[in-house]
Amino acid sequence: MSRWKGRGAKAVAEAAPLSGLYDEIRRWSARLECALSASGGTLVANRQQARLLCATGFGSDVLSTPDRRGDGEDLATTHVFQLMLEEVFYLSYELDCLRVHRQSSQGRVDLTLEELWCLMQEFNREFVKIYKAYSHLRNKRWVVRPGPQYGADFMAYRHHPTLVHSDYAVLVISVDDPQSRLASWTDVQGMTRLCGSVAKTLLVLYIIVDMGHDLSSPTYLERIKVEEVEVRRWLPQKHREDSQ
Amino acid sequence: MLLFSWIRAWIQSWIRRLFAPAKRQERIAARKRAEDLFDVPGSTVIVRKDASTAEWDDRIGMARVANPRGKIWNTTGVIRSSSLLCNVEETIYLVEQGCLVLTLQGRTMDLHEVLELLGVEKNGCSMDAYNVYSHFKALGYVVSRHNVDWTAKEELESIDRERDDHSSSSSLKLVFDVYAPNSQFRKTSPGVPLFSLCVSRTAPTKNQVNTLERGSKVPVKFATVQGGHVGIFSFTTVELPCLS
Repeated sequence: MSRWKGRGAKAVAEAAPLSGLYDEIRRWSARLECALSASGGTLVANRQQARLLCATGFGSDVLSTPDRRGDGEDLATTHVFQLMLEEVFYLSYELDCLRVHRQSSQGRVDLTLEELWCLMQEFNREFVKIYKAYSHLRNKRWVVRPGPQYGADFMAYRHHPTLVHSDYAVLVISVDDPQSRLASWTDVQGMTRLCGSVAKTLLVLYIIVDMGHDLSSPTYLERIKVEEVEVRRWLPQKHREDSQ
Repeated sequence: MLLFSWIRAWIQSWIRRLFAPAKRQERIAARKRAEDLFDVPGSTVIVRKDASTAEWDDRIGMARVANPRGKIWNTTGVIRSSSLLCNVEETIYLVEQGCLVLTLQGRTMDLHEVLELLGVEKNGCSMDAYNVYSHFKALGYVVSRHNVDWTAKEELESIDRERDDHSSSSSLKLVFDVYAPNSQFRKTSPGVPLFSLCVSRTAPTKNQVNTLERGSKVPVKFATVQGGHVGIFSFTTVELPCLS
């Protein structure tokens, strides 16, 4: 059961579905400039582009500056967004709306998609698995936001966070790793109670990696499987009347 | 233009259908919800009338402040010989506050160009470290680079300065010294910092915590930045008393 925030929120969400908003982004005539570092990306957008990025739940810490080239009362503004690595890659790979570069000792270097893919793996060893989880949810048109405030990897929403409370706190676990998370019952108790205290369900995305394939291309993503598991605490006291 | 035309048409038809029997106020409220979806949050950078100006000196990776104005300079920038110099994080913070205009070879730099200075490794501050710096500054703390003097008589010649880098680049390092908020702060007698900060994407191991604490005269705290949120943690070795 989703928790919509107030009357009309559900109607607004149905009137402006994510798929339609993504199509609008794909139709942009120009790509946005994005500067990449190990922490993520910094992107510059005009007002229209910024509004669409906000509506689709990308980026945080937006700073706006009046465009110095504007004059008169109606100044054009530019908006500077900070993006997570996953967001940078999703916008580049799935929505094809970014031109990513980074600063090196030789100055500014533009990056191809393959170079971006390899660079992100250098920045974060777990990037491939985390990104697969992120894109898996985004491709299903869920809005995926950073989760560390809630002790999770991501938060998943049915639409924009202003319209709906998040349904899930998402934890990404690789089936290969010797159970680095949820390794003990204490971990499971901790996570489920934490999620419960903020009225969210724990969703574990198990990432099944097909070893022995080429990691240097993002097409590798198609070979990775994701299984969705809801972890809940069941209270017998509350369900005694259920079967009657 | 407030909304893209196809979205407006969609939303209006939905709202008409759902709220047809409802009052006009409810329809107006629903339309406002829909427009709020595209709101761009965050702050606008407005350059103040009493803003100072500084020229970026790439050779030393710092900004030379030409005409410092305002009380902010009591707690920002270091003095070398007779020059007032700012690190990249100090520079960006002041530009975001509208207190500083940064020029490069006489041309004023745009906000996103200023932010790109963080991607240049030799300037010594990452995007994560910058987020931590601005988090503390916004709360009123005084922040300097770790083990860097506020004033010194020698002129600053090159980028390899005052940092005694005896630890390897892969291990964790102390990045900032944080002083208590103090309106009477003086660079000539700053006092002892409250604590030193390490900024890291990965949680520290026990050994790393021990190494950093051994090398520091003041307590050590650890900062992490995820999805734009800054979290500060301490790992304090204790010895529980034996109770009777």
